Amino acid sequence: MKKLWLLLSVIVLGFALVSCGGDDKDKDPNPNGGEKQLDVELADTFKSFAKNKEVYLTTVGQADIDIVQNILENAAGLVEDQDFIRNHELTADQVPFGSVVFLVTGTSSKGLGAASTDVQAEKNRATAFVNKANAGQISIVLLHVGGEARRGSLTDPILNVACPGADLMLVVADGDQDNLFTNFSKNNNIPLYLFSKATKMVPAFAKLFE
Amino acid sequence: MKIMQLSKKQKGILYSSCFIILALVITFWSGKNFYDFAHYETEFAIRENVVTRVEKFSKYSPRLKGTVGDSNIYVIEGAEPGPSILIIGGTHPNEPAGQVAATVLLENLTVERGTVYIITEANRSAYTHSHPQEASIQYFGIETPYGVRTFKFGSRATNTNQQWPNPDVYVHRNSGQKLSSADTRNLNRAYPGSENGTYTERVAYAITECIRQNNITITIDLHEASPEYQTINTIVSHNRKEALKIAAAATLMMESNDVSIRYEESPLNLHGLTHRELGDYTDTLAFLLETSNASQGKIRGAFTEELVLTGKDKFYQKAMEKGIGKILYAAPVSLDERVARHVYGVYEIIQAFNKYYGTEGLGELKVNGFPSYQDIMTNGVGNYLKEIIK
Repeated sequence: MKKLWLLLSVIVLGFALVSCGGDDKDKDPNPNGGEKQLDVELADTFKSFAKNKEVYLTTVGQADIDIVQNILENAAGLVEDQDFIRNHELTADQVPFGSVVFLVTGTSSKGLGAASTDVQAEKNRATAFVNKANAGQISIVLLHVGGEARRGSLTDPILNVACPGADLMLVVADGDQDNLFTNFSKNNNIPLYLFSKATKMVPAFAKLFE
Repeated sequence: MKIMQLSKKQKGILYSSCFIILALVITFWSGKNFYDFAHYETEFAIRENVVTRVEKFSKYSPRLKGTVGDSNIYVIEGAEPGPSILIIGGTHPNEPAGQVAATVLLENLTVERGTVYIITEANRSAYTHSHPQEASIQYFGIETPYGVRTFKFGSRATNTNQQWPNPDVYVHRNSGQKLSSADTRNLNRAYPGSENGTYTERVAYAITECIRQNNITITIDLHEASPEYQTINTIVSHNRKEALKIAAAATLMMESNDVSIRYEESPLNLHGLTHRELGDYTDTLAFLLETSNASQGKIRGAFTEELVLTGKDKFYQKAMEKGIGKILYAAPVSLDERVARHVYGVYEIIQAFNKYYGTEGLGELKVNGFPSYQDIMTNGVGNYLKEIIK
């Protein structure tokens, strides 16, 4: 009888440990391990990632493109039309082989109205960029600088198609409270760098053009 | 002594008379209250050695002359000519941070180069009544070193005494866009306005013409919104490239100084608003700033002066704690903070303008005397309101 109790206890303990393990895994705020690290320097593999390449800046969601442009200009000293092309309606067809596309995510209903477009059209544009990136023809630096306010039903459908195609994701951490970016990073092996605020991205941008 | 016995008929007359007298007293009291509120004049400290001149709306929209809507435009000119800025407060008198921020700027700024135009009561008619069924307060006071300064809490819309009736559907004159009936008396749906249009359109026309005739470089309209509105803590910018560049730079600077804010581009198809029409119909770089005002909220509790001043509301607090809906009410936002945001927003927009466009055209706009965000938060907005000298 004692042996039976011992066996039962071992089985129950075993289940308990497995259950605990499963919960921890689901709730892990950072599947890559440890606390989320903010404002970390880009790995050296990204040094000069965009240097001497054709650089395009666009938005899929019609928001925050001017914030990213401001950082591009100030951090990397780039000049619009000379060092990069900004086009908020850029399509994948317009981007030549070998280019780097800075894809700004986060959707604004006002911005959609200003551009006379909608979420589905933006999602389609994002898909075309991702297809081109998956074919090895372009690189995508995906940006999300708007934090939690730029998440939700207008933004997430676009993120779901855009994130898997990125070569690198630079994200303001407030927008990753539900680990959406962290999970894309883990599941697709895409480097993700989280920042406490958009201005903290300046050194990362500088490194891409070093 | 024999008590006089009243007949049934006499009793009826007595009771009816009492009710009629009571009704008259209540009517008189309500009427007097309404009359006093409508005729109360908010005072602003005009520094004689700083404010160059005071213009009237009727200079730009003549049919407003002699009406309640003939507001003041305070002009502060620098020693050197240069770019100019118009700051609009009081478009919506139920959004008090806009008026108080404009007042702080009026009473503190000095100009070295260029010109500052300030409006503190853009829609004066809307300051003569309050919104029906909102049970809002009529006045709120701000403690200053010189005593309590009283401001009015009015309505979002022009008083029906000035504009009546509302059409079933408001059709925006210039675009033909159909808007809700109530928006026919909303100044921020009336731009660019019309010289001979409705009362509200004539007020909008005065502001548009002021910008056009003075070739005002930058216009900033100061507003507030309920905490659940998606556009709070936002700079809304006209979609002209220069304006967007300035809005983005100002946003980044405010963010870097831990003032959480974002910018939005003005939709092309939402007409009548300052950030759309003033940018389209004039050469000004048009912006609108929004803060979070719990007293405008749909789920707020009792409407009190404290709610306006502190932003504390137990129902918003509960909604936030329970995560009900998309409540952006992360914490009570005091009037101090809302005014500090507006004042700081105006400052950073000017800095961004100078950074990108200060070396071309009219050169830099040099304005001094801004109380810092931190100063207003630490000392309270009342410390930046000047003494009213009679």
